[in-house]
Amino acid sequence: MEKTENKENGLIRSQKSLYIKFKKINGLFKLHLSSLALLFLLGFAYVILWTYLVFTGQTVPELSRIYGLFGTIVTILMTSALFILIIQIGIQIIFYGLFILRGNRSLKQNKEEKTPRNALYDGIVPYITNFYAFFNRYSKQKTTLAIRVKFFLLFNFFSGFFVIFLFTRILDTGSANDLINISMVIIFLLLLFFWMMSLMTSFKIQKEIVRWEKLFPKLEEWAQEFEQVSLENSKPFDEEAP
Amino acid sequence: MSSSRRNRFEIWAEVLEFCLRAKRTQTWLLRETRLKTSAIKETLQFLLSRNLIEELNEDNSTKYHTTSRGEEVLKRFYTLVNDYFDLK
Repeated sequence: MEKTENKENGLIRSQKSLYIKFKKINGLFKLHLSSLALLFLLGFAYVILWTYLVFTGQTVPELSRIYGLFGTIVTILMTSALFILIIQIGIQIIFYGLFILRGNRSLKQNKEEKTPRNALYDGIVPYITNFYAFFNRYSKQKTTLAIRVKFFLLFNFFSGFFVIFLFTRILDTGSANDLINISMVIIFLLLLFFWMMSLMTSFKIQKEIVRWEKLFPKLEEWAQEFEQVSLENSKPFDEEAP
Repeated sequence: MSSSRRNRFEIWAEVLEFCLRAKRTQTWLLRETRLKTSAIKETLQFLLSRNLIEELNEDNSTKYHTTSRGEEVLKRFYTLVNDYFDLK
C-alpha cells in the first residue's frame, strides 16, 4: 500500500513539475506575442502619423529636401517597405497566436472531477502534442522550426532597426502641433522598449525550440520501447527497459 | 489538429493521461483526442492488449481506466520529458 502511494506521489510530482515548466514556456510565448502585437500596433500608428505629417505638409522628408523627386520616390519605397515589415510582424502574430491558443487550452486545469485519484492535470501530454504538431507543421527538410524562428529573430532585429531609423528621421523635424510632438516621442520610446522585449523573448524561444527539437527523437524511442512491452510480461515497464 | 499529424507516442500517452484522472468512455476520448473512430478503437485495443488500461462496465456504458502498469509507463514518459528540461 505504501509502495503504491509513493508511486502515485511520484506521478503527481512529475506532473506538477512538468506543468510548472510548461506554464513557464507558455508564458514566454505569450510575452513574445504581446510584444509583437504592441510592436505591430505602434508600427502601424507610426506609419499613419508619418503619412499624416507628409500629406498635411507639416514635414518634408529629409531625402526629398536634399534630392527632390528622387528623394520622394525613395521615401515612398521606404514607407512601402515599412508596410511589408508590419505585415510580416502580423504573420508572426498569427504563427505564435495559433500555437498559444492551443497551448492555453491544454494547460487549462480540468475541474470537472472533485477529487482526482492520482493525477492533478490532464493537459500535459496534449501540450507536448500541440508543440509536436506545431513543430512538424513548420519543419521542412531544409527549413526546420529552429531555423524559421532564427529567421524571425533576425527579421525582428532588422525591421525594428529600420523602423527606429525611419522614426528618427521625423522625430527631429519638429511639428507645430505639441500633441503630435509628444505622441511621437512616446511612440518612439514604446517602440524601442517593445522591440527590445520582442528580441529578448525571441532569443529565448529559439533556445527553447532547439531543446524541443532534441527531445522529440527521445520520445520516439520511448514509443518504440513501449511497443515492445508484451502482454505476457507482467513486470513493471521500467524494469523491462534495458 | 488532425490525427494524421500526431505520432503514436502522443496518442498513447494522451489516452493514458486522460484515463488516469478518471474513467472515460470511448465517446469522451473521441471528443477530447479528436481522433477518428477507427484510430481511437485501435489505440484502445493496443492499450488493453498491453494491460495498460482496463475496461469497466459502469452505468450501462463501457469506461476505460489506466492500470497501475499504465501509470508506470506514463510516469516514465513524464520523467523522460522532465529530465530533458532539467538539462541545461
